[in-house]
Amino acid sequence: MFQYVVRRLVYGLITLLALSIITFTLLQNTGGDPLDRIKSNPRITQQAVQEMAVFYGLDQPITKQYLTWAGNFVQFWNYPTAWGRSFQGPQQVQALVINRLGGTARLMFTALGLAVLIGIPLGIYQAIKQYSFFDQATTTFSFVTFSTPIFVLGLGLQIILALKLEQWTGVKFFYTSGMNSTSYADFSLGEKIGDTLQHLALPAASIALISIAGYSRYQRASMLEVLHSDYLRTAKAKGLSQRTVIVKHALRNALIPVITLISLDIAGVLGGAVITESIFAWPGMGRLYIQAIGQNDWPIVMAVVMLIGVMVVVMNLFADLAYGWLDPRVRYD
Amino acid sequence: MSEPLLQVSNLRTFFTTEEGIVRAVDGLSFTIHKGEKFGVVGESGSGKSVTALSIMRLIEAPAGEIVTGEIHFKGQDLLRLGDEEMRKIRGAQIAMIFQDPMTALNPVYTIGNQLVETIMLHQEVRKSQAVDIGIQALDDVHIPNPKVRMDDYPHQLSGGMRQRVMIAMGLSCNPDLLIADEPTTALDVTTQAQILHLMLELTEERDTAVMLITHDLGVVAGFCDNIQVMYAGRLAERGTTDFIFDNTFHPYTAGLLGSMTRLDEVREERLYSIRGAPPSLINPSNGCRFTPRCDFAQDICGSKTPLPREFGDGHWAACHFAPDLDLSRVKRAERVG
Ligand SMILES: Nc1ncnc2c1ncn2[C@@H]1O[C@H](COP(=O)(O)OP(=O)(O)OP(=O)(O)O)[C@@H](O)[C@H]1O
Ligand SMILES: [Mg+2]
Repeated sequence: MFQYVVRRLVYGLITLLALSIITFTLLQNTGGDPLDRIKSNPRITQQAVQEMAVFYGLDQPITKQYLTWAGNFVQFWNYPTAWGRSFQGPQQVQALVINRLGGTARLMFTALGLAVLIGIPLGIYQAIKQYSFFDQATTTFSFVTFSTPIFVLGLGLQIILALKLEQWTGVKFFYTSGMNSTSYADFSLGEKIGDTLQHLALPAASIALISIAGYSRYQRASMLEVLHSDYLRTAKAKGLSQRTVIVKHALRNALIPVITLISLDIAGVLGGAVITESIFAWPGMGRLYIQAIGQNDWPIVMAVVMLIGVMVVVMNLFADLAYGWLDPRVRYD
Repeated sequence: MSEPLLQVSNLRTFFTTEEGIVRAVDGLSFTIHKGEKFGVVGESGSGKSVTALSIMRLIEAPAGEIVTGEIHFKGQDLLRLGDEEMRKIRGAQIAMIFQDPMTALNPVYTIGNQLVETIMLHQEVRKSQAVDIGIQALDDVHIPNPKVRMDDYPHQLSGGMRQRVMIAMGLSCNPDLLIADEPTTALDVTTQAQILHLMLELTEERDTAVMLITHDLGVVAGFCDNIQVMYAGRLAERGTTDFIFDNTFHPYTAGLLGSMTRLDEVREERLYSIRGAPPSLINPSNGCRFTPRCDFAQDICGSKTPLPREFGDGHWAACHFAPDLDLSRVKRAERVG
């Protein structure tokens, strides 16, 4: 088991190394130059551009640039300079990314938490009550939500729950942009919590609704399979109560496949949600790296890609361990 | 024969499907006595499993429904019991084991866990006592190292061993009736014989009645006191094993006997095979359902349903022409021993 974990971590490091090389190479070959914008400014002299290139190390051969970046990147404890400087201004990449990490984590973990806490029980209940009115109604709802583009969902929530609701009631329930109000610092603790939730609710709900639809479908299918299994019939034939049959004999088996799905979704959390962040003016990772890609600001792109890579490696390992913990048939060797 | 244990009367179990209503069991009556070894045979789809699941009241609603009938077990009608009362009977007084031992045990719990669970459910014992009873039960079915095996997961055991575990679990609460639905079909021939022998030995010891479901007449021959042959959800013929093998009155039974492979005799003729396939159970035609496949069919067979008639000594047959047909042409297999 310990050996297995160590081996998986070594593979993980190799994967990350490969990921960094491939991403780096791709970014170098996208046809743009990080200093394009500066070069196009007529008031900046050729001389100044040259100095900037030297300052950022862009005059060095590609291999050297990569090695320098990698060497610094792994020394993440040298905050905030370890991940280099953005080409756009004076900010340090590490500070920028860590700053966005908070926003992204708040939004994405809330959404994911809601999706798991609602979607999984929903799917299980749908399966137990297969073909009931509840099952059919919620299934229809899931299909509709699942096939609605996220920007429609996000804007719809904004219009109905923020705009219209405020018009009708005269009370502001939800905010549609940002993470907090500008006067946040002056609030009491209770007001702070309220303000945070009022900002978080709609963007988190947009993402969660779609995930709830996905998770519940998946969980329903997996639960149905278990409910029709031979060992469940055995459990009933033993005289166990419906409750024990479901809670003890069905649930654990039905959760096994879903664990992998959730783990990989957690891995994707750091990527943020570009569209939702844009609609709700949420300062998250998604918008940061989309902008960075557009401006060839590769230190930022590299940092975000590598963080996601680390999460994928870790969560994959976690999923496999959880799998083994739930399913005794899985062996690590 | 001793007192009746289970009396099924006029059982009808139907399934609603998209194609129509499947009359899986359609007016079946039979009795199993205390300690009796009762065999149920018939082709695939003849309603054997549905009969068993109806007795256990494990027919899955809403598609499946017991439409009419009574199932008297030790004097009470199981179909009138509340869910709670029925649960106290399942596993305790009527136990059931299934065809595929590979999938019948929950893969995520140990053998011991699943055994002890059953024991504690139906017996007033503490955990440690239940564990002892469980170990004893595994020992009874000749599982080596029962103490160690308690901690094994199902996937660590072979098919034969798992079926032994199922038997141990079934018998752990000393039921009056054990329903075994094709318990050996999924096993190799040697293991089959061992498992059957074991079941017979243990149930004889405890005077447990067994309803043994199989499509293999060879299996029931060595095991059962009485045999019930089912066709398309109905009774074809029932009687003592000896009588059915030596003196069948029903063309379908004769066909089954004729198509039996036997190791203990040299056959001169080719094996008989019943032509055609079992009928659809959705809107079945009037009359005897075996008519299209029967070598002896006459006009009346297609229009009038033959009701089971008794020919003395618990021998029942549902054929207009019983006992007058000469079935020797069909039935070559003479029972030896
Ligand atoms: N859940 C169900 N839904 C619809 N039809 C069913 C269902 N269960 C059984 N049936 C039908 O009932 C009939 C009898 O099935 P049953 O399982 O009792 O046959 P069997 O005699 O046990 O056959 P086998 O030897 O294959 O086990 C079949 O035609 C089958 O298709
Ligand atoms: Mg069957």
